[in-house]
Amino acid sequence: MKISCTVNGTPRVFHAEPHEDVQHLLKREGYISVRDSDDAEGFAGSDTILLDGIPVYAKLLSVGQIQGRTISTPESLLSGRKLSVIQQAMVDAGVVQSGYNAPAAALLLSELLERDPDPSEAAVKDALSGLFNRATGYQQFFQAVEIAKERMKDPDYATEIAPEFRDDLRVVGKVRPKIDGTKLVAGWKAFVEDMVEPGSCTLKMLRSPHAHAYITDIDTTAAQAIPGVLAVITHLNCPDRYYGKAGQGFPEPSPYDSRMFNQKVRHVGDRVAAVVAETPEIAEQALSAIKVTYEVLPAIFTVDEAMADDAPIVQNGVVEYMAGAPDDLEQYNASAEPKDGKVVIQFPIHADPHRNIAAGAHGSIGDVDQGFSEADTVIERTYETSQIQCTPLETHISYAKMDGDRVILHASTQVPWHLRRIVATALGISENKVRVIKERVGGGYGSKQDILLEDVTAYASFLTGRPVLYHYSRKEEFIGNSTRHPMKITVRLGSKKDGSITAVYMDVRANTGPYGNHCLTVPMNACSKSLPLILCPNMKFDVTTYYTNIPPTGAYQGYGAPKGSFALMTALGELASELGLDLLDVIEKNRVRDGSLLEILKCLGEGREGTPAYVKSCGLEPALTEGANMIDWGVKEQADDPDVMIGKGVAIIQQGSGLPGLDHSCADIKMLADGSFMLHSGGADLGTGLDTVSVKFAAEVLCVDMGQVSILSGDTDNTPFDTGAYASSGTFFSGSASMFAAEDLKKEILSSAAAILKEPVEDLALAVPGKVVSTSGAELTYWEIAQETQAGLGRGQLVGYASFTTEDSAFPYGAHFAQVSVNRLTGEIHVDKYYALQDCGTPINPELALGQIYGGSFKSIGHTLYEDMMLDDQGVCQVTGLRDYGVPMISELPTDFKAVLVPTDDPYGPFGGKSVSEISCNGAAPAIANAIHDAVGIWIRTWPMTPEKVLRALGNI
Amino acid sequence: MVKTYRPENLQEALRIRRETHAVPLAGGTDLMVRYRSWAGTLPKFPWPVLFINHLTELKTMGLREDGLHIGAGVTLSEIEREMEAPQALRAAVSEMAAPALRNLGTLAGNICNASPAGDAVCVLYALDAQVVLTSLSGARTVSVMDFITGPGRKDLNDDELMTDIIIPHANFSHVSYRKVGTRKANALSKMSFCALAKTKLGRIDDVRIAFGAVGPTVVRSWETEKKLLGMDADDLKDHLSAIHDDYDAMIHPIDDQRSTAVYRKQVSLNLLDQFLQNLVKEL
Repeated sequence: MKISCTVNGTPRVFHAEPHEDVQHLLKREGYISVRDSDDAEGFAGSDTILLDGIPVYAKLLSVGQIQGRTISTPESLLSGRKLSVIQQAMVDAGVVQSGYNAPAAALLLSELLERDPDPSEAAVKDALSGLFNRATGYQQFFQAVEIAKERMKDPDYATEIAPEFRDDLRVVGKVRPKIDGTKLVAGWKAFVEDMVEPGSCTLKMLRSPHAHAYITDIDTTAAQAIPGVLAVITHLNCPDRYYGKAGQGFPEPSPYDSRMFNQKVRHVGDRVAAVVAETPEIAEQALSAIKVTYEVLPAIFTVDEAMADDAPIVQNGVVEYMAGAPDDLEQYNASAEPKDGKVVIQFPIHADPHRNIAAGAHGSIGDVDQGFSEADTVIERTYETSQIQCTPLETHISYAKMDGDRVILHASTQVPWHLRRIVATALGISENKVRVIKERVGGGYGSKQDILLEDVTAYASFLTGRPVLYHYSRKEEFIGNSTRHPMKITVRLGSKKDGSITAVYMDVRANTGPYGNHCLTVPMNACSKSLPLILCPNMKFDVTTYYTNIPPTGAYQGYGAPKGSFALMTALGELASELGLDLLDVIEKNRVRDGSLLEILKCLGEGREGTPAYVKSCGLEPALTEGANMIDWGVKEQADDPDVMIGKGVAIIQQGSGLPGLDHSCADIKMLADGSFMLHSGGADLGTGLDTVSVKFAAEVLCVDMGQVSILSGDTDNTPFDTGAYASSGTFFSGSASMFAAEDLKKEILSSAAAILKEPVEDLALAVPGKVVSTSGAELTYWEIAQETQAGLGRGQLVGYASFTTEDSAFPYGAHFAQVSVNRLTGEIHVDKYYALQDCGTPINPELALGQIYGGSFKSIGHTLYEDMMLDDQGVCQVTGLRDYGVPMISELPTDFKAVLVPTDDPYGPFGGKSVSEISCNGAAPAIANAIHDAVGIWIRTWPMTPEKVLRALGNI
Repeated sequence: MVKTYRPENLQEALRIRRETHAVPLAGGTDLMVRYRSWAGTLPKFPWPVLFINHLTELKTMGLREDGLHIGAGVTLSEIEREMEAPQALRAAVSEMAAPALRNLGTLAGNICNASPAGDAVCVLYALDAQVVLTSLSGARTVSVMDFITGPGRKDLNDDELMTDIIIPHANFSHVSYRKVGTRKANALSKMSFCALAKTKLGRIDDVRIAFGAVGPTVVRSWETEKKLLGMDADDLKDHLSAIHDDYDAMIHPIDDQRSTAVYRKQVSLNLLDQFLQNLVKEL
């Protein structure tokens, strides 16, 4: 049908299918900022447009409804390349991080400000109530609106956006717009979906309806006969190779326990067949033409079921070791079932797949038995965490095309180099035949560390020679993605009457689901990121990870730490309550501090020997003092409503800054002909501002403005190696590489200048703005140096290079305080106050660091209170969308929410910086559990802490 | 290929409805979600679609002798801003969805959805709301509770369009509307509760109590409400547990992904008790 309407002021006539939705129409007509995050659920708001001036979801609008009407998309906000006032304010406030629906947010706020130039906080909340933001939460939107409001009156309005740090530095520690902020909020080409060329094919996946079954027959003849179907890939014709999909460094501490497709399906949603077709419609038609016969097997979903003597075995294949095979392996494999394939283990990880054990770890320091016998009080409690989803706004996406015999992958990934290695392995080609280009990442949070769809997309293109796009639906995101490992953690604490802890024992039973991605390291992390918070000479832990038939698990921001912290910090609250002591006093008596030796870390290497580490900087003391002040710790609050009780809680938290001894980052930086710089970083900025960190470091070292340094990152052809953005490694590893590359270039500049000036290099120094000055008073600009070095007889372009590895650790610390209201009639829990005080060393980008803290804290409030991937008794995920899953929206924000930066100066971190993002996920669950107890005297020991559980614990049901 | 119709006026819409039985789509915020497909393909309607959102005849709202008339094409946002609309209805509408949905969605569509969990429907039950169903043969008026016959089932003939919603005049001195959800806005509720009362000279003069999402349709009992009429504070205090027991026997929720039956029931009764106890205090 023909539709006439006005888009962004231009009359347009579109030809559309009568049932086409308006987002689909606008996107194909080039209005690329109108994105889709929820497959027409009307929830996430990435598809927001204005229809006759009022906000609507374009995906819920049929083309039949727009005849004669006026549409505005986020593109309408720009004047040429210039951002609108609210767009610029959003960038300045630090709220544009992964930025996938930042254009939609700007459109909503712009409409609000037009209606109401002085909107209340409630009006901002209402305007954004249909917009989901996982990266930064929502707090900084209020600040963006404040800034925009003032700038609309006075364009030169300036305010303190965030505290600044390090007076001795020019750009590090200062508020500066994120370097890709403009392009993200403007809605320009940035993401993988924006790179798809016309004529590309679509890949769609047939997924298992059974939790555990063998494929006894699969008939693809009818599907292949459909015109427009290019390939159907199944376990019968896929490459016969086992490879790791965890996206970790090689050799991985995760087993290779699957091929691209397997004869056995191990969860509802497991891969059965991929169809590559000319259009999405043909692909869907072909999916329904595939005939599959299954032999359904009994399935298991919990750790307890997996541990049972007669439990069905999820991975009953032949076990192979690449190193360290046990002597009885042949005997072990006697019972293996060939249809189950293989489990290839890179080095011993205490695996026993035929008893459903994917991995294990055990260790201790001191003498725990002695410690418990010396205790006046011993408590033992068990805590359970649930399976939760990363829910990036940009669902997983991969676009592969061939360039001659090379595979080019446009990827939304945290690990470009691991991705290249794994795709090369899967396809059986060498790494030089694969190029990975990391585009902007519309939310990763760990789930874009795992290789979930790139292998099959790359193979599809390799097989057909055609460009192939695979874009997960939101439904697939819930069943074909990595999630947080559910865990059951038992903590035993021994203590003296005064609260001094004499012994700690932690038993972690983790559920890895069908495959062993991160099966050793996530559960170990539950110990390694919680036990070192407590200084106790006697500690012991046992970690065991089980295979089951739940949807797959993997990396998720915080890794194992949120679960370990929940168990240990809530147990500490229970201990304090048992002893009649104040929780804060118990924390103070036992906590880690500056200079502590963390001996337990010697047992907690990631599959290798660990090293004890000294704490070189720890901001817990100021964080606890300030937080206690802010929340009036010790003062009992009364609600107006007699049915509502108020309580307060706290937890201390930590993380690491990358993996010393394992992570490796490289960068190079070149001086251009006019004295400006091009930085190539291996780092994978997943929205957090890593590229901005790298540019700041280079600009700081080279004494130039940030505008003089451009960056290309995460492109395996054009930038040097980096292990990737995970384990909180960005600033510490990739950032250090950029800093040291700039230092290396600085040496080159100085030695060139020395040669030109014929002066000793010791007399020379770099100076702002981009010149070399001598003690003699002579000066050379970078322009002059570049002209000289790049002239016909010059010494050549000046290049700095660094590869950064270290054995040193820089631990970020934090204290999170929560105040909650609990309604005794309904069991509803409301977070009234949430204060997240965090020590990230020198905050490199203060406003972005605050955004990371708000985002991490708020998503973990969601995990704690709302989010739930319910499975039925057949293992079918009952949740297909964000609404039912329960992600927190702006209406759930704590009434008073503050992130506070508590600076320390870490000797190992670049410019004293440590990591900031992941740690933010560790505090909410224990702080809220402790606060609920303080309010109504009950302990909720499982996630999510629902109103039902509260009423039950109160004896009201 | 889906057939779609875009009539010029109501008369033409009714004719198309009679001839094709095409399914009316006003805001589309429910149908576009229900018949969506996943990742990159277009929505799949199993029947022809009749667009009615642009029909001016359905866009009127205003007070008349028999109450507030809300046209079937009036959006939820327009109702939220309508000062003449009852407070409980405006509250329910503003809490049920984000602006981008309220700006498109209609109350008529929400009623036709016939969901036992529809928050606005719970309030409409309590308000004794009626709907006008029009066809080429004429119009008939039925109460919302008669219109909704079960989950997703409604008394709508295939040549009829809902054209109007009527909310009879009434004033209440006590209004309690609670949506109990996992989260506040933009979430389907675990249960909803709407209680309205008017007192006169220390006695209950009018009372309506409705529970949403605790049965196949909204739960409301005239029999129990009748018992409450005329009670003063002491009478009510004496009858608190009897009234509680009445509703206890009537409320039969189910377990689903949003909540458990036992929770829904307990919270319904807790909210009822609280409403009645407050009423005792204020009588």
